[in-house]
Amino acid sequence: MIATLKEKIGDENISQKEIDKISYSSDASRVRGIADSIVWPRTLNDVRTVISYAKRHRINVVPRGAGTGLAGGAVPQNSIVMDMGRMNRFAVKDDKAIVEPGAVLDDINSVSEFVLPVEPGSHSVCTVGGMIATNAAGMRALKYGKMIDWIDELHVIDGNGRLIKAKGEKIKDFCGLEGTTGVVVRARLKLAKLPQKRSTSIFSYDAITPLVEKFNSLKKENVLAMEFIDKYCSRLIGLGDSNHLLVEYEGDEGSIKDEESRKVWKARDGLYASISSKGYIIAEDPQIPLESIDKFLYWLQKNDVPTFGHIGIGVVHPHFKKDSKLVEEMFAVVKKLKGSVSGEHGIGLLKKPYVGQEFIDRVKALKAVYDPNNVLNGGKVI
Amino acid sequence: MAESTKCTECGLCRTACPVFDIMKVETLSPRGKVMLLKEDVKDEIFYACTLCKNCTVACPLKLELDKDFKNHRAKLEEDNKTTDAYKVLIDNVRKYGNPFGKVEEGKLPKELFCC
Repeated sequence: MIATLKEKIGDENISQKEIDKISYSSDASRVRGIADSIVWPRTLNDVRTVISYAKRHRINVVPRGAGTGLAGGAVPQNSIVMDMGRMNRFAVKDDKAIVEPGAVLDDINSVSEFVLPVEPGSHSVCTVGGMIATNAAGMRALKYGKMIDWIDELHVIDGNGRLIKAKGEKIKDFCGLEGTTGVVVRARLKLAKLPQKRSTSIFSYDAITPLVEKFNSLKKENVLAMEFIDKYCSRLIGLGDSNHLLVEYEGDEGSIKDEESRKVWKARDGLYASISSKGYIIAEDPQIPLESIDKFLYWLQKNDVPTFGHIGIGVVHPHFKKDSKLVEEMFAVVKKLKGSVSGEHGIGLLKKPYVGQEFIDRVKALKAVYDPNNVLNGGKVI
Repeated sequence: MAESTKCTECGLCRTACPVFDIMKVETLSPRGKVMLLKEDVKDEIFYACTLCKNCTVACPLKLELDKDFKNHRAKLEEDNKTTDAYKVLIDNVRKYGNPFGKVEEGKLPKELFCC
């Protein structure tokens, strides 16, 4: 059966080898699934060919970027895994970029003074396609918002095999929906200049209240990023035994500058892996209204839940051990505080039990239009 | 304890790996190979590593995965599951003191073998 697909997209762009099935059976969530085959499209037409083939043979297709997602969004369910990594060309001109989905964020940001300022912790490897699929936020979201704020136009192949060119409000039909409504094949993005001079300050607090007071007093124009790091996580990166607020400023207001500042943020980049290596392998990303963030941090501290995150936009990353009953309790607290289940990682497989009916209805309506045969990333999000 | 057992599969090693960088295949990335080690897969793919340690530099936990890949190659050798090219290379080193085999002075080797 797969031979017909090989003929169309080339033998070297498809595999059913056991070793490939194993390495593509998961993403950074470490949830294991089953890959039927792996394809590496090189063109828009390859993507369309694979989707049409999958539709005809009723096989699920899972689009995959760098596989750094933490919610299991790229975990196959007896699926064709579509690794977008070979569609990685991009062109930057002034404050605009045209990119293919497999282009890596740091590569795009290395060619010009204009950059895509949305910066997840995985910026050295994450792909634009994955960032669009999850509506990534990252550490500078306080100043620069989320991925959707930087998209001018998306070109998408939907589950019917049609090329959709989405602009304006229509971008919301695809961005953040983890490839369940369409596979991004090209995007036109806006770029911005990051301030030349940046500096960092670290504020230490034993208790949550003064930390939140400081956070509230810091909501200024010149703050680029604001990260909360709790006591457990602070110890892991050598900051000592307190809660910390990491603040990146535009200009030289911060006391830590240049290389030392970069070292601080690099340590922050590696926090997920450090916590995960201690057995806390479930990383959540609820978004809490800022007026309630103190209540949420208290609850996490009371329950000894290691946490860090983008406090500036109310997205924090509580970490749990496998099968922890606290996850369910935490989502009950999130609901009570009128927060949302996912601020940036997406719903994937792991957060499906916690999404609200309104969201489910919206995705179902979009699926009916763009993917009525449920070819794209079935079993995810809803 | 093997380094790979400590790997959190975050994937931050991917673009640091020169083999992955060319091929863009997860299986060839350090994380992909770790997943194979965890499943105890014996395959010549472990020769597709330059042992450059770039993955250690990129790894937030500074895991020395190259050591595990090298150890795995030794096991492949013990089980006689090494690559044909590697067998010729080793044979040439033993016989001629170099991996290229008998080479006449001033001439290039007829065949280049690489592990």
